[in-house]
Amino acid sequence: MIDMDLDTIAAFSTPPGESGLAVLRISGPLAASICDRLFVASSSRFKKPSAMEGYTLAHGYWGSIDEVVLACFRAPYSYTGEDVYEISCHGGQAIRQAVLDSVLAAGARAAGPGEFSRRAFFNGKMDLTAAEAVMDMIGAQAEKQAQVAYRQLTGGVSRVIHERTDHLYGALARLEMLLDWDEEEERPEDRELLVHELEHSEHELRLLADSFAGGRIIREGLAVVIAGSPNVGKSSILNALSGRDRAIVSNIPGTTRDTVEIDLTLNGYLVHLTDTAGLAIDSQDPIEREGIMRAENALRAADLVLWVLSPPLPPEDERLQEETRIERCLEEGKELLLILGKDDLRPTLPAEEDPAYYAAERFPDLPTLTWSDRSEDDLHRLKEILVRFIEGGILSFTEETLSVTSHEQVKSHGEGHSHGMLTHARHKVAVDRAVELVGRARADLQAGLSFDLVAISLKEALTELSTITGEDVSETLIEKIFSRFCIGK
Amino acid sequence: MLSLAEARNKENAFVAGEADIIVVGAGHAGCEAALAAARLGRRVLLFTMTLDSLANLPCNPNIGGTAKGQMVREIDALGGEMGRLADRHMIQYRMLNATKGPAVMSPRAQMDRTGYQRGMKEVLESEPLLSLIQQEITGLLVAGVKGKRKMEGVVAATGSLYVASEVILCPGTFLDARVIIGDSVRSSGPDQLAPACGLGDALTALGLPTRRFKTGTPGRFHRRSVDLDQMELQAADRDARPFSFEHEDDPSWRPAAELACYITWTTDATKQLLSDNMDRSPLYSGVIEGVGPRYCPSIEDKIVKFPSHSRHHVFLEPTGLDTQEMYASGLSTSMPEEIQRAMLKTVPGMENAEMMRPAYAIEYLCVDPTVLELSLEVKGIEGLFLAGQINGSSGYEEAAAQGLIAGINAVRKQRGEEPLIIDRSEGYIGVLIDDLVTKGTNEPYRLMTSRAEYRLLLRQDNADARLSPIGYEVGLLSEERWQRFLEKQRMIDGEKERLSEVRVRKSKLSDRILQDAGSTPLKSTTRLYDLLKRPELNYEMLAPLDPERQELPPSVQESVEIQIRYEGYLRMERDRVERFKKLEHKRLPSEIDYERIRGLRLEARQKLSERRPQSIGQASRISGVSPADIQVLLVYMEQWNG
Ligand SMILES: Cc1cc2nc3c(=O)[nH]c(=O)nc-3n(C[C@H](O)[C@H](O)[C@H](O)COP(=O)(O)OP(=O)(O)OC[C@H]3O[C@@H](n4cnc5c(N)ncnc54)[C@H](O)[C@@H]3O)c2cc1C
Ligand SMILES: Nc1nc2c(ncn2[C@@H]2O[C@H](COP(=O)(O)OP(=O)(O)OP(=O)(O)O)[C@@H](O)[C@H]2O)c(=O)[nH]1
Ligand SMILES: [Mg+2]
Repeated sequence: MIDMDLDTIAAFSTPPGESGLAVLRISGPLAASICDRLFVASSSRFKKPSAMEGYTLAHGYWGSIDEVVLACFRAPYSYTGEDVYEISCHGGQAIRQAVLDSVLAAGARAAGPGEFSRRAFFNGKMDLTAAEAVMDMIGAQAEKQAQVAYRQLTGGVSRVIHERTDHLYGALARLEMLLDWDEEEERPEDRELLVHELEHSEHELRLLADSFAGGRIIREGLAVVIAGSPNVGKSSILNALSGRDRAIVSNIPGTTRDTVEIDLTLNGYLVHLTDTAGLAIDSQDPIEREGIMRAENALRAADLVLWVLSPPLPPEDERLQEETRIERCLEEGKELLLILGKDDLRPTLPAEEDPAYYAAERFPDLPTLTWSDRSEDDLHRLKEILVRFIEGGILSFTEETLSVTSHEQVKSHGEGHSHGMLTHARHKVAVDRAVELVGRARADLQAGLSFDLVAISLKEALTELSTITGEDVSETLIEKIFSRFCIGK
Repeated sequence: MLSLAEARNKENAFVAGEADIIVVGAGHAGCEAALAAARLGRRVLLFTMTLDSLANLPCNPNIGGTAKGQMVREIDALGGEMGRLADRHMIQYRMLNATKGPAVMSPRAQMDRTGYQRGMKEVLESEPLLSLIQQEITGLLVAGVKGKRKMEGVVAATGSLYVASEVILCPGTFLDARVIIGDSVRSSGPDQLAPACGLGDALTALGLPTRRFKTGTPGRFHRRSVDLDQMELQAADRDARPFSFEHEDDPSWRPAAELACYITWTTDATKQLLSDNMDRSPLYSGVIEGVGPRYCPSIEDKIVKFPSHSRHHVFLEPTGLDTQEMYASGLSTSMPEEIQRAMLKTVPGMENAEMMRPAYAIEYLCVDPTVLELSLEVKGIEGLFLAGQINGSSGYEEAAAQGLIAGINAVRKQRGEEPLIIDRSEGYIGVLIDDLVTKGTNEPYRLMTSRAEYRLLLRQDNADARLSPIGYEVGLLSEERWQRFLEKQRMIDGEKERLSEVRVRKSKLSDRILQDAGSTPLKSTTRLYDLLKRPELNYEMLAPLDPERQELPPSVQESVEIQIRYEGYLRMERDRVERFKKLEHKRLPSEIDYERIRGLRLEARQKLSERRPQSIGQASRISGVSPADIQVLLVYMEQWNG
């Protein structure tokens, strides 16, 4: 069910992709208060967003995420006729996502297709011909959605959503059976069993929610950044993975000065690969310093960092600085794979110069991969790991991701292996809500609240999920009750 | 199909009666419809196949249960009869789900079956404007052409004509009914009553879509022949409570009796026997064509569908004060008599049961309810209303609720008033009718609490608060009752107000009382109102901390406690209702041509043209109409209005 003008919607009005600037539009009664909470004006000359009038601009920061320009269009003088705020931020994927997430977290709902236009129409912002166009558009989108829905139904993603919601349906069906058919008083084991079932569904839904990051990667590509000290073999890795002689390789440290980017596909998955300037310490060279700045920026936007450590290990002070950098990356939540480079040289090395020993001592928790640009096997392994990382869907390493034998050929694991991922922000929001509601239901059960109240949260959770699967919750539920429980006297 | 004028022109035509409203069928639907119409000042003719069986309870001899109990109280709040009558003839009362939360607490009472029937006859006979007539109705008098028809009356099996502009059909399970026991298939209504033949054809001739549904009932057994000592006893609740507001808090009201029910179980031998003879079941041999209800499976059905269950419940229930017959809930079957008798030998305590009535299945004709308006009037046929089992529902309470609404709406139609439509957020009656009319049903429909989206609002304790104002406005509640209702609401509000002002200080007494109740001692002075929100406390327990408390009627205490304790959840539910109403109240004009709306998907066009929903909310509940279609409709509506 939809409600027309009660909630506040948000979506980017610029297409995704690495455009320079992105504009996020927020429309609805909460728009001003959301902006009040998240926008920090860059000078006291500017008013609070809720106090901005007519059409006004303000410069400042969006939360702590990015520098932005905020444009205010007051109702009714806006595209939709409601209060509209537009946030212009930098166009990078990570920033876009962070800005949108913060707006959704503050109470907006991800706008559905055509929703801004529809509101515009209802608020008298469009004439009749424009309205007809809107109707056609909604209709066409519905057709498209129907197709997408069909594909989802037959595909792995939807199967997983169904599997995951099946447990939840099962739990609610049990609860409803107890309420409508059991007729007896509550038994302690009823409650225990329900708590157990809800814990299970909560866990499953959480996995589903976590897969969103993976879904985005499939849709938009995985950003991989190769970093490390100068001359460790970074550019060689870029060239090996892309199969092209893209970056200059030489034995002079500091060869790469600017970031080098290349898009490649691995088993059909898009990967944005970035090679960076070696991170030397205290460089006085302004060009080198600019290169390091750029490297650091690239690192910030990375989904995965390949940090290369090769022999000979740098001197103590450089090593310490490198460690600090690695730690900073980890603090920012980056996934790191330590590449132990120039593996072919290792047999000749004393232990204290061997990066493998060093890594095991300093970063025992980080995954490592030995690498030599001379080995076909190593190349296969690296590719395989990247593919698994993408298909894993959770944007982190697992045993499974890393357990690649050197002989294994790169091959797609396809549907069977994929965890089923959420690919749309709207779906992610729905699953997050569901997780929250199931969690509340479980807590309510444990706190001794009555079954009828618990059922409210669970039904709401399923209603949220039904916006993805398109199921009729009531009917499906009744179906499950009758198929699972022997009911009736 | 004849019009009145045409019928009159025939040889020997005889108009035997004329009235404002005709009701066909004196089951639970027909009785409520006729009573409501007569009490609202209309002259009513009520037809029945036989005057010896009015308001029959052909199956389970009880009224109420989950969702149904709430609905009986709603019927009462609107001024219906069922609750009042059930109060007089209950022989066992139980509050189901007493520990599972206020939303699902559901009263249910075992009835003295013949007492209930006699009681209904008395009520009907004493209604001045109502005439009871034993006559089978076999035809309808209709003027006009398809799409623009108008009711003019009915034709009896004797050929007599009865004239009225509003006709309410409530023929229950009698239309073209067949009773099936094993290989024996006979044309018969329930309880060996004559089936209604003719009316079904008249409905088909009118172009109404019909289908056959099926239901069944277990055998009845002589009390002396079942070994109740071998069975688990299920006693009546000690503190029986009436369904009707009129008996509420009345110390002189008591149930007619407080009898027990008894529980036994089928055994592996039962399962074996039935499995071995499944080929003799008309359900599986194809003799039965009608669709049966999933919630009321026969014993052979349960064994086929749940092979892992080694045993199934059997409840032995008294059926009245003047009879030794016991109803064996759980043993519904359409197996041949031979298997039925063999089956008894396998159920502990029933080995020697004397079978007084065999179990049977019944198949009957009913109408696809999606042809109805929410008022229960048939679309395109002015003055024809359908209520009860004919609409694909099942159950006494479901029938009574529809009858009441149809009766009220037939009167309102004659008065030129808007029909009474109970919202889904106002009552189970609204859920029931909206489900039937909007979604339709593929099996006999039973109300369940899980069908309601605002279950917490639709409680048994507040049925009066929800619907009395409507009952009063409609004209079915007396002034005296209305004043008593207002007084109760004042008491509830007053007590809530008082509790929010009384503060409890931390003291030895308060520590002790709270600790005894398994609660934590106070940290600071606290309002009684807030104390009541602690799940482990209740109104009763707080009495020692509340010396100024006046004795209040139990029903008032109950409401106060629930309203305070669930305040937060109730507010959330009401917010949801608000949002829902925005859509619900966007009316769709009946003249919309859905085929011509661009952007609607094909399936939606078809469904909407077919069902012709009355509001956007209703449209959104039709399966096959997607949210995107609703958006298109909303846009279209704006244009329409603009
Ligand atoms: C065998 C059996 C098993 C059942 N099992 C269940 C169950 O398990 N659970 C459940 O909820 N419900 C069950 N029911 C259904 C329940 O009995 C009905 O839902 C309820 O009684 C329907 O009420 P009604 O008013 O619509 O019709 P009924 O109570 O059937 O009353 C119909 C009335 O119409 C009269 N009539 C019919 N046709 C004509 C005519 N042409 N002219 C004049 N008078 C006419 C009849 O004489 C009768 O008075 C069962 C019914 C039967 C028969
Ligand atoms: N033995 C051996 N030499 C390697 C390997 N990988 C790279 N080299 C050599 O190491 C030197 C540096 O390689 P690059 O790929 O340019 O290193 P880089 O990290 O990009 O260096 P900067 O851009 O200067 O930071 C080159 O001479 C390579 O041929 C390897 O796996 N084994
Ligand atoms: Mg380089």
